Amino acid sequence: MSTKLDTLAAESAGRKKFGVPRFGTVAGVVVGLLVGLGVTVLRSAHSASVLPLAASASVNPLPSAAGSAEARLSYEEQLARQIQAHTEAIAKHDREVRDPAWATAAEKSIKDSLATLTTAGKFRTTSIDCRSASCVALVRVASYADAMQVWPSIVQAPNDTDCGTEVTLSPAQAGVTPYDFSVVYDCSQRAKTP
Amino acid sequence: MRSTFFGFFGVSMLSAMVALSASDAAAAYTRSFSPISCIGTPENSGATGRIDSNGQMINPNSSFLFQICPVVSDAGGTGNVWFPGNATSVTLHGWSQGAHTIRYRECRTYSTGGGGSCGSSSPAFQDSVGVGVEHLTHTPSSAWSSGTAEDSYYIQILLGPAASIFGYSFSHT
Repeated sequence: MSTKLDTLAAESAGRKKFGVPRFGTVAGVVVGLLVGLGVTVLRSAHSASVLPLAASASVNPLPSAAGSAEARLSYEEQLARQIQAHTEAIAKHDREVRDPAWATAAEKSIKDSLATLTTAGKFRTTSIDCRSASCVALVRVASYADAMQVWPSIVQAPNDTDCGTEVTLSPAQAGVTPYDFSVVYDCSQRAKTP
Repeated sequence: MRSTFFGFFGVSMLSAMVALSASDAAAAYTRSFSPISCIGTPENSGATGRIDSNGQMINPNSSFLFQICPVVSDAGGTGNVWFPGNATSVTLHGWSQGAHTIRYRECRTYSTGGGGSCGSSSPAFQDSVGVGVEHLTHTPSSAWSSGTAEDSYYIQILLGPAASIFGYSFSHT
């Protein structure tokens, strides 16, 4: 006949069989949890440095730090930067050696693509010069206002050379008539295409 | 002592794995758009497209169709939206019944006005799109990556006769 003491003894034996959690095990689990938590916090901190508010807006990740920094540039700074980049691209083009076969074909392609624009009547392409990885076209319009009207169609005009296109108008010359501006064609992709 | 070690090691690894996998899963994301907001640029070809009842952009003409399509950007520098300059890939999603031409490229208008740029489209050129859904992906050109947060970003899509697309998306890590 089992007694209450027998039951207690059996329960005690059972605990021994499956192992009563020792102090050391509990301490290990606690320390382990703390280490895991540390990894989580460090990882979150790293993510936060890349995407500053990612933790608080997980469904709407933010622009990079570089993008945000750019946003703080003033109008004058942005304009100066664009004009500088445009000027440097032309200078780089001027240093290129002409690849006669490609350059001649590219010049014709660009000339043809500009001629097909419905805005073509508002501008005149005074020259197109291609070298080996870029081209520069000089465009003349009656006024700065006309330039503001036609530049988007010129930038968006595709050409068989698959060159990138870039226009920067200089407001400093806005009063000059006729108004001349240059279009830079970045054909560096050509070198990468087999 | 042994149980202490296993308790420590096991829980540490488990916690770290959960932390890392959750973080990595959130690292890459994609923004997808419908072409219903695209507009035609008839000055390039004279052709105009249409959006059908399914939201697909279709070129019903026998000539090429040029469209420009909006991209979410941080114009105004509010700092809480996606920045296209960080895009790692641009994908067009199209459906076709045969060989069509679809090309596209990244474009940007400078926040200062009076200028902008478009990248090269050659990596995305697809001369013979097969039957069914097609996903055309390429890496954005420097036309985007060199931009500022305040610039205006868009893509230019060129559709050959009878070609259509039903979406475009951008990935970012």
